[in-house]
This record gives sequence, C-alpha cells and structure tokens, in this order.
Amino acid sequence: MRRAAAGKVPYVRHIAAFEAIDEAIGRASEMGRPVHLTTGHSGAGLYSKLASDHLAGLSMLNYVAKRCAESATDVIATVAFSEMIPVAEDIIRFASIGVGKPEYYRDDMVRFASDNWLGYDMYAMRMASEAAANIMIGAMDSTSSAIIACGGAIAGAMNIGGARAAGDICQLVPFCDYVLIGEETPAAGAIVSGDTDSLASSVSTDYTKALIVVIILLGIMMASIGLSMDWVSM
Amino acid sequence: MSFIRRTEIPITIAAIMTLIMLLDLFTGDPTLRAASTMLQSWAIILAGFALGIGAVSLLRLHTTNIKRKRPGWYGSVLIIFFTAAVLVTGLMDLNLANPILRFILDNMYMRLYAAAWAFEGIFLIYGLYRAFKIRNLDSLILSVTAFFCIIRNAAVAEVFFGPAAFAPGTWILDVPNLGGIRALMIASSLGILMLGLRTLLGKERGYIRTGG
Repeated sequence: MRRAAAGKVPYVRHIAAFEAIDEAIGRASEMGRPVHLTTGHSGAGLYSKLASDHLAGLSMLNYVAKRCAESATDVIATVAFSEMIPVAEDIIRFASIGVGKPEYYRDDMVRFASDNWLGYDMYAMRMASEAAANIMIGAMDSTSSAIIACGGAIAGAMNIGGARAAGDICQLVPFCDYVLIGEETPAAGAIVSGDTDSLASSVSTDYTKALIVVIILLGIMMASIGLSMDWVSM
Repeated sequence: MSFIRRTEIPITIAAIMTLIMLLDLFTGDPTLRAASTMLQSWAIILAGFALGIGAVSLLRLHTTNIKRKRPGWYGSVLIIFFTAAVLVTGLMDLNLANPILRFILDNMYMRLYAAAWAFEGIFLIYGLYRAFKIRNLDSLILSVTAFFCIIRNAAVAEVFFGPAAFAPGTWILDVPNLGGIRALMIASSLGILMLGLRTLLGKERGYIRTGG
C-alpha cells in the first residue's frame, strides 16, 4: 500500500475476461444496443452471507457504468433484491457525474422484477437477449446462470460471467465467451478499475492469502505428525 | 453533504456493523450477542421497507413503458394488473386458503413455474451442445471426461460392460475433479474473506465510490 501511495502501480496477471469487458462495451456501443449487468440471485441480497459476492458485482457495475457513460451506451442493471435498487442507482448516477455526463443517468437503468427466482430469471433473460453485452458477475446461482446466459447467447450477445462456486461456474462456461473463475470474481471490481489504491489493496490481500495458506499447511503438518492443536480452541 | 462525508459515513457504518457481527461470532459475549441480534432485526425491518422501494421501482418502470408505448408495453399492463390483483386479494384475506389467491397460485404461478423448469431443461441441452463441440484439445478432454461421467450415471452401461463401466467416471469424480473443486473452494473462500476485510477497512469502495 505504501508503494502504491508512492505511485508504483502493482502488477496484476493478465486475465482475458477483464479485457473482454471493454471489448463488450465497445461492441455494444457500435451496435447501438445496451449492456446488461446482473449480480445474480443467490443468497438474500445485501444482508446475507453472499453480500460480498453482490458487492463484487456492484463494483463491476461501477466500472461498466463509467465506461458506458463515456461512450453514451445504455447500461441496464437487473437486481434481484429491492435493497440493491438505491445502491445500484447511486452507482450509475455518480459514475455518470464522474465522467462529466450527469444527463446520462435515467431512472429506468436499474430494474427490479421480483425477488422470486422465476420472475427475476425470466426478466433478466429478456434483458440479456436485448443487449449486445451481457455481464453476470456476483452471486450467480446455477439456475439463473443457465437461463440468463442462454438468453444472451441465443440473441448473439457477448456473455461474460463470473462466479465462485464450482456448480455455478459449470453452468456459466457453456454459454459465456469469458468466465471469471473462483477468486477472480471478488477481486474483479478492484482489478478492472485500474485504480492504484484498489489494485494495491487487492494485491496486498494476496500476501495475506499466502500467509493463510502457510498456516493451513502448517496445521496439516502438525495434525499429520500427531501434534495436538487443543491450545487453539482454548 | 460534502463529498468526503457522503463516502465516509456509509463506509464507517458498514465497518462498525460488520465488526459487531464478527466479534459476536468469535467471542460469544452476551452484550455483543444482544447488539448483533438487534442489528439483524433491523436488517429484516429495513428489508421489508426495501420491498416497498422495489414495488415503487416496478410500477415506475412499467407505467413509463405504457406511457411511452415502448415495445412490449402490453406486458407492462399485465404486470401492473396482476400485481394489483394479488396485492388486493392478499390484503383482503391473508390466508393462503383464500380461493382467489389459491386460484392464482395453482393455475398461474405453478404453471409458469413448471414452464420455467422446462426452459431450464432445454437450455441445459443447448449448453451441452455448445460445451461438447470439439474445437481444440481442451474441449476434447472435456468431452471425453463428460462421456465417462455420463456413463457412470447411466445404469444401462452396467448391463453391457459390467461394473467396470463405472470405474473411469468414478475415478474422474473422486480424484481430479474433487481436488480441483477443493482448490477452487479454498481459493475463492480466501478471496471473499479478503474482500470482506477490504470492505471492513474501507479499502473496497467500488460499490460506494462517488463521482468516479
């Protein structure tokens, strides 16, 4: 973090899906069709165990909204939980102000159909089929992934997905042009923004992850040679 | 409100709430437990109010669709009509045995529910077709492993090849597949833990960044 403060941009490995997001927005701009983004239907929104996944999706919305505002391409964010409506609206509104185009934001850019999977999936599928780019990053569950992504794939939209669980990823892979796998999803918002501070924060957490892995390995070794770990629970 | 306050206040509130929940989880202190339970009750109440925002958002969007005669506006008429019908019927008699509500649930909702699952089946077959097209070495490996996994779940394979037919599929699922899933699970859990930590420390601002 100190190095980033001194102006050194941290290195992040090349991930094709991140570059594809700009390509997808450019494609939508050329075709005159909107970009559709959803953070998925899993969990119970922002007050559930999957809140972090939804936040990862909303971070991506921040980036996508800015790029779309710059190129005057419509962005449609479909949310499955009503408490996410004001958050998503604020993200698009301030993204448009941030790029100097406050008139870009419209009330109908954030759409809520239902918190029931049936209504949400069908509506999001319709939105995906009208878009030139369909971005599905966050708490994607397997049923929603297949239905929404298929809507986009059949209509010829460029599908970009991202999920953490293996069961959800395997539903995204057949329909998506690019997929963020596992831990790439929560880091997506920080990485794609290119913001030095966010990147440094994301990279610094990788060091913490390495430390946790070392602790896990140490625990495995201690348990394997029969050393007691009772003191941990004391 | 200044730019800094607009950003910092929500982050501070989120950090304090998260900290209380985490401390309750790890310490089990009665005071923190009471605070955590109260916060969860607040979340439920706020979610109830948020449903109102959802209803307003839904009505705003669909009334605009009708006013501007956007493509598919007649669908918006149906949505508003049925939303109002279910709301009025439900308020008149909250009992699920209410015959009108029961009629709507049994003859409309359940039928649509079944249709959605039927869609899902068709989409999965379409997905299989896309996934198993052999275009390169990776897709060849995927198709071969998928073939053995399908055989493992097909009882008829035993009739022709005996119990040995299940061996490759079982090995694929138990060894490389399980190892891969565990690695993915551990890595993504650490990733989400770190995202939570970044949010707690106010370093993750993508969801709240104002003005770019």
